[in-house]
Amino acid sequence: MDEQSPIFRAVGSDNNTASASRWVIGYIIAAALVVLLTVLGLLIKPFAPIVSFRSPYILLAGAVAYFYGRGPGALAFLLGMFSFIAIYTPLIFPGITTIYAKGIWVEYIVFIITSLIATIAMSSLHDSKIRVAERSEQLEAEIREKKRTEAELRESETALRTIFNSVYDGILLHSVDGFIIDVNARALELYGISPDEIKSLTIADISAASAPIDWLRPVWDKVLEGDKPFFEWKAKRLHDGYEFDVEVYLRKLRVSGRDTIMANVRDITARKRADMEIKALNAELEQRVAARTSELAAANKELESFSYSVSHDLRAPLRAIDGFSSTLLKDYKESLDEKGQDYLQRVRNAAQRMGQLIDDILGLSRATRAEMHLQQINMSAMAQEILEEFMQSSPERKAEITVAEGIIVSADAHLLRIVLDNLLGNAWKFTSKRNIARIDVGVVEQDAERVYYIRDNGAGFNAEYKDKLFSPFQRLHTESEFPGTGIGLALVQRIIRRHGGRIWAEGAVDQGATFYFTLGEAAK
Amino acid sequence: MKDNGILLVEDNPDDVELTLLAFRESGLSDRLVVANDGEEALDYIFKRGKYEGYDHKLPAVVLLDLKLPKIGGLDVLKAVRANPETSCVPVIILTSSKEEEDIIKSYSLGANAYVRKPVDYDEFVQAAKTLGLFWLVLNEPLPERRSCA
Repeated sequence: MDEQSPIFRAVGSDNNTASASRWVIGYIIAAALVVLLTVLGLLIKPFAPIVSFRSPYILLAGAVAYFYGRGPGALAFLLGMFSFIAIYTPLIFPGITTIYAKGIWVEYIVFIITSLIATIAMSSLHDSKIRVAERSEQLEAEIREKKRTEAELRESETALRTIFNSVYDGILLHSVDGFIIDVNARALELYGISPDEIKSLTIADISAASAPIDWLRPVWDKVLEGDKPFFEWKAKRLHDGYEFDVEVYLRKLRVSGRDTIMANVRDITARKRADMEIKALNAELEQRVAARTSELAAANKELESFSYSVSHDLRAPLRAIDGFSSTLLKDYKESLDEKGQDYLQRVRNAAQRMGQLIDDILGLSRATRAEMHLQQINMSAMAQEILEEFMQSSPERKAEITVAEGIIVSADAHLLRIVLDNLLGNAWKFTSKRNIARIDVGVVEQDAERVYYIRDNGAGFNAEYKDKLFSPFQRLHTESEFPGTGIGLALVQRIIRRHGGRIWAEGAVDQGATFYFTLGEAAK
Repeated sequence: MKDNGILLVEDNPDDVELTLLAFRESGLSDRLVVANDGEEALDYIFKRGKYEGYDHKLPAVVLLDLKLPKIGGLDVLKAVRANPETSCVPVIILTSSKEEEDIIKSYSLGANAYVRKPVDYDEFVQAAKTLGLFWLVLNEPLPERRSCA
């Protein structure tokens, strides 16, 4: 654009219709005015025959050049020259060429030179005028643009200020030596400072006495190198000295040509308090658990010493009852008739039975309290061993025994042994009146759970009472039919439950019984 | 009391009587000395207190109850084992308790055996016979005036 000539720029550079039509209009007006001037000259000539009509053409060419630029100016000049030399002068002064030949040529040359100078000068003036107009228009546009930019900047500044002042975090702008430059509304609120106090404050003024300011200074230096540290800080309200916990995030920010530090400050008092509360609650809970544990331990200890007393002290009188009855039966037999001897024998039986009961109860309590150590146990082998012991102790009995091979369970060995002793012991006991006892030990899969069973063809039980089977001291047979204390199945049930399993039984009178149990293994 | 007999440490008179009766059946009751609590047992063993100046030999075996007045059975055992003169005297725990902890403690303190008094008197008589026969007849005691420490 700049390299183009001013006139070209003025009339033809812009490809828009307005300047094109102005360009055409310039030429038309130039031609029209020359024609008009010639006609006018011819019309007024009879009234002023001597006057040379040179000047109006020069003025016209100059005027057109001034108003419409170089092109129309040149046209007006050429047409004017033509009109003046070829039309006007010959018509007004016919034969002049002969009379004043020399003089008229001088006249023409002066006219041409004057007209040319006027045209060139005026077109230059026109160009300057156009340039000035353009320049001022440009300036105006620039001013408008600047104003618009400024307005936008102000809006954006206002928006940023609004954001700055409405974030929940306090924002502090400070120099690398800690002098505060600017803060947002939240920071004013946090630190209890008024806007006019800002400039005289340093970070140290709004930090708790315990806060390590000396530690902070090298951190600031690092921030200017690009670090963006994040840490907790103990802050202080300016006027009342109230201290509170904040979380601080620092980063470098360049403001007005200066490196400053922007600190985002978040009040974490509520979080700290919640943390403390949780800690306090935890501590309290732990304390309570400890208290309960020691209570439990004390209760357990008491129970143990109770069991111990029961075991020791309750049995001593029983021994005396049995011992002296026995001595009476032996040493004073003659003083007692048969009935008296029978009664003494009953006393002895009762004492012994009570001794057995005490032992069983203690066993029950021990099995419930003992610590469990789960391990993989070959239950098949254990059952086989127990049953073989039974058979050896009563070699006169006939029995068909099947134990499924390779039943491996996860259980406490000692407790499982008690379970099998009792269940197999029952099976052995209640089949004692069969010609051939049948006892089966096996396992079935039921609802993705391994269910172990011990089945016998013994005396069985009335299915109506199957829920009573597992209550302590509950017996479904008389002592004379089948001896027992009624504690065995209660003990078995407790052990099974401690393993997380279940136990139940099926059976009918004289149809044998089947005891099923799980060991809570599916859940593991 | 010249022979080295059995020292029964037992506070319950019924148990004392029954034990005497049981040993009588095996003909050993005259070799039974009874101490009614732990203190008396130690007095007898160490010839002090009311046994000051006595010249009885150390018992061939001590039958020791665990639950005793004054000094408990385990403490008696500890004191006997702690003294080089008596550390090799056979001590048998004779008690009602079947608690695992009692059994473990007794053995770890150096008991020679642990016998639980059965409620059934016939079984008890059997046990007394076996014990007497073993310790007074079968077992060869430490030579006199020798300690094993």
